[in-house]
Amino acid sequence: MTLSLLIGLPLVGAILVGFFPWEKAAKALAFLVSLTVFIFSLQLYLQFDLSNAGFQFKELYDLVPNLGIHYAVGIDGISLWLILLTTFLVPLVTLAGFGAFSQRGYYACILLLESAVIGTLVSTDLFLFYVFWEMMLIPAFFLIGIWGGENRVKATIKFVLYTMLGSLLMLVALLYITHEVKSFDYSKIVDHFFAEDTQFWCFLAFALAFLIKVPLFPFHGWLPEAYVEAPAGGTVLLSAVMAKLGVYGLLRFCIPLFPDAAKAFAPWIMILAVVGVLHGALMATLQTNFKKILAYSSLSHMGMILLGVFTFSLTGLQGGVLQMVSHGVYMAGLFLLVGMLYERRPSYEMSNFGGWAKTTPVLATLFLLLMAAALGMPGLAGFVGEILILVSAYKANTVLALLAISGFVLSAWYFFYLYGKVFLGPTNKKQNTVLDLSAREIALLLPLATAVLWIGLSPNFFLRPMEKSLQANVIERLKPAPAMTDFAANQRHLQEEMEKDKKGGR
Amino acid sequence: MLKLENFQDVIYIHSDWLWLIVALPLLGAVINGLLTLLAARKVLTVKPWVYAAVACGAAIASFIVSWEMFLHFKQTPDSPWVQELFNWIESGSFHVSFNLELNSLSGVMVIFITFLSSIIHLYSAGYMKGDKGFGRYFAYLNLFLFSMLVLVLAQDLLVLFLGWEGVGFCSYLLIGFWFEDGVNAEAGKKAIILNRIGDAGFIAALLMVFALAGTFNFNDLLSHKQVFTEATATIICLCFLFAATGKSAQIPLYVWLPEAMAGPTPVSALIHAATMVTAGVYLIARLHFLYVLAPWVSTLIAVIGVLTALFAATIALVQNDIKKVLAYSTISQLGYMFLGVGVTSYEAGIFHLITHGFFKACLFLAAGSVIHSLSGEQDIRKMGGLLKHIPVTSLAFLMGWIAITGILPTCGGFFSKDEILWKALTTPNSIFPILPQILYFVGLMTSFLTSFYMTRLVILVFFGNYRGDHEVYEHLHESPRIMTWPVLLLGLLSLGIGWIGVPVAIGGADELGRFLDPLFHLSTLESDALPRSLEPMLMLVSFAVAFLGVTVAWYVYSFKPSVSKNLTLMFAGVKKVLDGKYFIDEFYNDTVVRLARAVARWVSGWVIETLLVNRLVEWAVKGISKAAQAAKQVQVGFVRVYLAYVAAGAALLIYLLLH
Amino acid sequence: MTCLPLELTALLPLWFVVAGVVVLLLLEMFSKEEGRKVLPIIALTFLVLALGADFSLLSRQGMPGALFNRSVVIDLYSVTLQAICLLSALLTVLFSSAYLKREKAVTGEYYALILLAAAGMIVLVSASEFLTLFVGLELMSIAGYILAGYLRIKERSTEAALKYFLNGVFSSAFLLYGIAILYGVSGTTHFPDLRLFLEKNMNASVMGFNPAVFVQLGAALLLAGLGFKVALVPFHGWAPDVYDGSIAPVSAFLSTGVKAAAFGIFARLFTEVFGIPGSWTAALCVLAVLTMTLGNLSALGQSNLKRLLAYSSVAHAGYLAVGLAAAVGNPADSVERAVAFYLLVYTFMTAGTFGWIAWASGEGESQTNFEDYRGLGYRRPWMGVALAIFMFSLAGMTPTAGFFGKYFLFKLAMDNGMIWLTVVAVLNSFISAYYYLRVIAILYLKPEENRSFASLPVSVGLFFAFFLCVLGTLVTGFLKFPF
Repeated sequence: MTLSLLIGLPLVGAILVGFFPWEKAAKALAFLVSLTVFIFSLQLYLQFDLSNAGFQFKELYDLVPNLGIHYAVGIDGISLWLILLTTFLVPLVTLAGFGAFSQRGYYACILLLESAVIGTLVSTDLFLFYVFWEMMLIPAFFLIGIWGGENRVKATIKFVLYTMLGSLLMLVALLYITHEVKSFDYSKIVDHFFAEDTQFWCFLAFALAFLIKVPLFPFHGWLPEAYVEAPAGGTVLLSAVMAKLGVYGLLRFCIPLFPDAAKAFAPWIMILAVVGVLHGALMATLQTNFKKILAYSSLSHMGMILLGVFTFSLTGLQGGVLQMVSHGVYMAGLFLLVGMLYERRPSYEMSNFGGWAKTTPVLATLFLLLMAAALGMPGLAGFVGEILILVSAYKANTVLALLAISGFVLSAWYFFYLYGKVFLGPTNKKQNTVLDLSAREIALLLPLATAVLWIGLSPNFFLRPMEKSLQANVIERLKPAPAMTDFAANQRHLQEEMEKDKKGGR
Repeated sequence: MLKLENFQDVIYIHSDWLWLIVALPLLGAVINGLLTLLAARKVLTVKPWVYAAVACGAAIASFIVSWEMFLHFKQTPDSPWVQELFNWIESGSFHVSFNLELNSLSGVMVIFITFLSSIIHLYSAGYMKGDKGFGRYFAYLNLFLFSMLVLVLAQDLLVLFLGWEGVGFCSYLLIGFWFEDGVNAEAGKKAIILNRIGDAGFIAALLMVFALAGTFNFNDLLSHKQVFTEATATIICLCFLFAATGKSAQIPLYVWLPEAMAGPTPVSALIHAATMVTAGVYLIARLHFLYVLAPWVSTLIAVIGVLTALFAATIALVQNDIKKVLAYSTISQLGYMFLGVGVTSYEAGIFHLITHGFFKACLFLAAGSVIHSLSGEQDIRKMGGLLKHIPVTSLAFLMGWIAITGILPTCGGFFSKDEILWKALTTPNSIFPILPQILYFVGLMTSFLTSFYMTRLVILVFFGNYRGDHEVYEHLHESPRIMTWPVLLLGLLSLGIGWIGVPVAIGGADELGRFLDPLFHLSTLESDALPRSLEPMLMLVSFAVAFLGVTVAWYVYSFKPSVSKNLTLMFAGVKKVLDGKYFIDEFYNDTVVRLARAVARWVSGWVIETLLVNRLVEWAVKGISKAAQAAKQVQVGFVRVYLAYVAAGAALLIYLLLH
Repeated sequence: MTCLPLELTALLPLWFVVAGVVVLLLLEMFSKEEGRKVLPIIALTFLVLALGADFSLLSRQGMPGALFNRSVVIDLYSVTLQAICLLSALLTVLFSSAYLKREKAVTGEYYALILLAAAGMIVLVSASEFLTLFVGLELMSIAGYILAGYLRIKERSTEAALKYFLNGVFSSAFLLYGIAILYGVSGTTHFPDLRLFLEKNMNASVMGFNPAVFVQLGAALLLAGLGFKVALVPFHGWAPDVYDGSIAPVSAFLSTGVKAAAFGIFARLFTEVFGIPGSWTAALCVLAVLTMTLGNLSALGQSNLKRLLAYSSVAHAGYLAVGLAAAVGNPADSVERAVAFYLLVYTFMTAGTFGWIAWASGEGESQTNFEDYRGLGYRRPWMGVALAIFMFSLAGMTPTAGFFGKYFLFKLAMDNGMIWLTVVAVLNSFISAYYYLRVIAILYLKPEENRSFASLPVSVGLFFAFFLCVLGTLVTGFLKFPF
């Protein structure tokens, strides 16, 4: 029942907030709801069975019986942390909105988004998954399109269309595989062996949807505008939560469902990921708009995560998932801080800032801490995931790993450039009136700061629960499946024969 | 408290209290940081002395603790003390636990670091008096001390890297401490970015080490060192060397150190002279068992070291900023240390690290005191004759001067520098047989230059007549005791410190050497046939060289000022080059930086982002909207046309169905 | 003739609607001005009664099946379609009442005509035989022609009516011709018999001549005729002009009820009669692709909401055609289910949108351009959200019903192995997403200061209608629909 509560509570909350008669109190209600959701979600960790690699907290009801569509949910070690990350961030995002936004709609959208995200993370029925996956777009569309900046319309439509293109192609693949398997049940589909070309096409379709969401390097056309135009809260949800769903989709669907295709595509995706790491970092060094710097750095870091995931080694996968969590935390913090800067001086241009470490010491200190985490400073969140990813990537492909390191250097370049321009240097007259963080803002940033330290110092706390699930639900799937249809087995056998002949010929 | 546990052939003593050494400064940093922020929020008002007390207390306490432990440890120097703090990262085959190890090397380093920083903390209390960021300063300083101690006590490369990055970060914070001046902020940025470039080498090395050995633990690496072939060891050592050149400001990554002088002078003394910059030397010494497998790299280290030494010394000849002179001299001295570890004489390197730490700290603090009493003046052309105005400071500075030049045998850096030169000469080099002689002579030349520019500095600052402007002269005053006494103490110590390693050749008991030898003896190449008895002769030689340098400088700068003018006129070109510091910064800006910028702007910004990512999509969109315009044309609005469509459609259908 | 009561009850909806027509006309004749206020209520009452009758039919076990000498068939499918048509009529009446009051053009025959058309639809969707089909079709269409030109004073409306009429008669001819040929070759007008004939003779050539040729010719003409009614490209020429020209409530009616009825019988024909392997599958594929693509592309360039919707309804006919193209090879009932479901959803969202336009376009439909709705989302949040929901549903985004509808249709194609067709359909709905989303975005652009939308009242009836549409759009996807 817990999972349904986690989906239902924000949904009901959204409706309540949307219809709440007193606009002033609506945001408080929203915060209350999201906080309750977070507290509920803690139950997941407390009752999580470490020894069980499969799905837990399962629920199953009929949705459309004559099409075999079920309401089937459950979580494993992979989704656990992403859910907790989401439920952890949403209250903070809500609280962060208090300063800038008073409309109920804003908070209703956030809650709606939370519900959709959690739904996506817990569905074990592919149809249900798709419903939630697409449903995320609607609140996101409104968050950017209504409460965004100047060019919000272009940004939001670009974002939604990019995402939809992927999702719709995924829908075709979904139709195909469910037609072949005659079921939407994840466990059935994942055990079914798909022919080579089916795997090829379906992997492409699924991966495109997920990689656009992440985004992987060539598919990030929507990212800069969307991240910059969105309100602070929206950007946080985009970068810290929704981007992760892309990687989650790869882990949960692309790789286990189409293992052979995944293995075939892995090198290419790793190359693109590294190109993304470098490209994102280089682009970041070019920007004068510091929100854009963060946007591009996010692109670069997501590339790092994909690099880890597609090594298919336990270390790399754990590093990737851990990095997802830590990236979620520090990016959330940074974007929230950017939002707070924006509330004090409505601009993202670095030239309008300078010397803020003097006028707003607390803000500067927190920014420095989270920035250090983003830089991969050992002992803070970013480093552990990064080193795990790099180590396993080095085993998988030396050159790529060494190239990825230069992202580590460039990140220092643009981050310290940013910090220097915004917080250091001479202060100008105008900002003597600027106030440092309010108690509310500090209160909502402290949890993030704590989390950054926690992940950095005791990553095992996070690594342990995901280990078994990654092993069983991802790595095992990549080994030639024992439960293979005779037909498929023969096919493979024949291919092996042919390859042998070829080798013999040469 | 102590419990023995046998581990491989070495006996490890499990200690429960090592954490205290690193924890105390951390605690101090946290307390000061919180106090500062709270004060900034006007939650509470903190008296400056509280910060000072907390910070100095933390440093001194940490020194006392480590001193106690070191005394205990000395009884059984062969069995290191280990403390497993916690299990840091565990993922598949990747396992790193956060351990601290106190062995003879780290022990010496810890004492050295905690002692120096205690003194410098005290000094800072006076120097930074009345600064707005008093609390912030001490928070940073303690944080630095913590990171530095983690660096030296780490039993694990990854933990060492934590300290490594930590000290870099703190140095960034402290160089840019007065960040309201854009220049300081820039200097800090430059420092940390160059360090980061070095760190890339560190990480690359980490990856290779793990890929080969599957562990980061020094002792495991030591016991698995057969997995490293000469080739792999060479590559790994090169990467570590690159990282070391970043931290220790050697060619090619040294350019950040002179600008790092933008930070407060005690910081320059502690971080950019005594401790952090020596981390590179420490790293190489810690990994001696790898470097011995890679003779090429060791040779390279020696060459880099001696070149840097000479190079920096020549630049120091013409600097006019008192701190810049000292900065370049630091680079040059670090070069000596690299020479030492390069010729695999790690004791010598560490020995010089320590002596240099003392006298250079002394010089910097004294310089700071000078600057303080001249109310911020740093240009030596506006000084002179300060001896009689600020005697104590001058005295300290002179002691430091004696120590660094080695003009007074048996004092300060005399033995350590000599040890290095001796080892450089006598350690055979399998790759370039004649290299030792070259190294020796270049080293000798450098020591001549060293004594020359140091003497020049001393004379221009403390002798002759005052050349500065008047209102400064008005309130020219000796610094407060809290500053002068530590400096004086350091001065005395830097004179005496040499005695921890008096060479055996002249009947000394090379204590430090013997103490460290068990750690290094396997990795140290044996000296060749040159008789030990030659060493005293060479000592005399180097003394003579130093003396020559001093006298020449003395002659030129105090008796015949015209000479230097003529020299500059004669070698105008040379002077220009030296003033321009060989234009290395410009060179980097025009090549590396510009290249990176160009790649970013054109490859990433234009080709990829604009063309590949956006333009393609825009074209697709254009195509679709063109199609849309065309589609609109279908709707003409005339019934006859529509009827024509219907007829055509019907015809089409009939065709489709009947063909 | 023994089971007369059954035949009475089974066609109860029809009786109610016809009775409604009579009552309304009488009232129009004898009532004074104030009597006209009750007209919509009367119409609603009869429609509700008819709907009630439908629901009672749905709820009861076992359908009557063929009646009146097998000229009509009352089965789950036809009853559902009847319900959909009645629903569309109901919504139209609700929208119209406010609209006509605003335009000061309240008359009895307007409502009578709507009910008359509804009666036609009921006959049409329950037809099991070509003549009944034609009678129902014409009854529906003729009422439609008049409705299209209801506001004589607006010449665009008159023009629309004329176009509609001319095209209509032209393509009715095709339809009749097709029917005639089929009768000539098979000797029957009853669908089941025709099916049997086809199964026997599609491949066999009887005594020298090949009936298949004639069957296919007939089928082609039939396709052309029906293709006109549901506005498949290239028989769609009239549709945008008519939907755009006639008054918004009527557009709602024409684009939902009329289309639903026509599509209903279309689907029945091509599943239950032509649901055997034949060359019409290819033809339907071609029509589907043409319709979707042209509809969406021309909607892309529109800056006028009403016209955009006209094109979008063409595009949606294309999606439905995808389902029909996949009819052969899928079980008849699954196709019919998908089509019926889509028609229901489509009715909710399209009628809702046209109703929204009727509400928002103001006096004399003066404002139907996007720019006129700039910032409406801020001034009238709820109406803004309503339109947004319709648009999301039209774009086929989850969790709105629009997605489920599309899903079931595309699933048919996929189950039939028509992957490429599915891809084309999906790409089309991708293109469509752009213009639907742009509409929403415009609602939330910064509004001009002088423009306030306070002058747009939402009467009780209107509110109810919108509520119905929004509710339908949101929840239909999650209902366990009756079959």
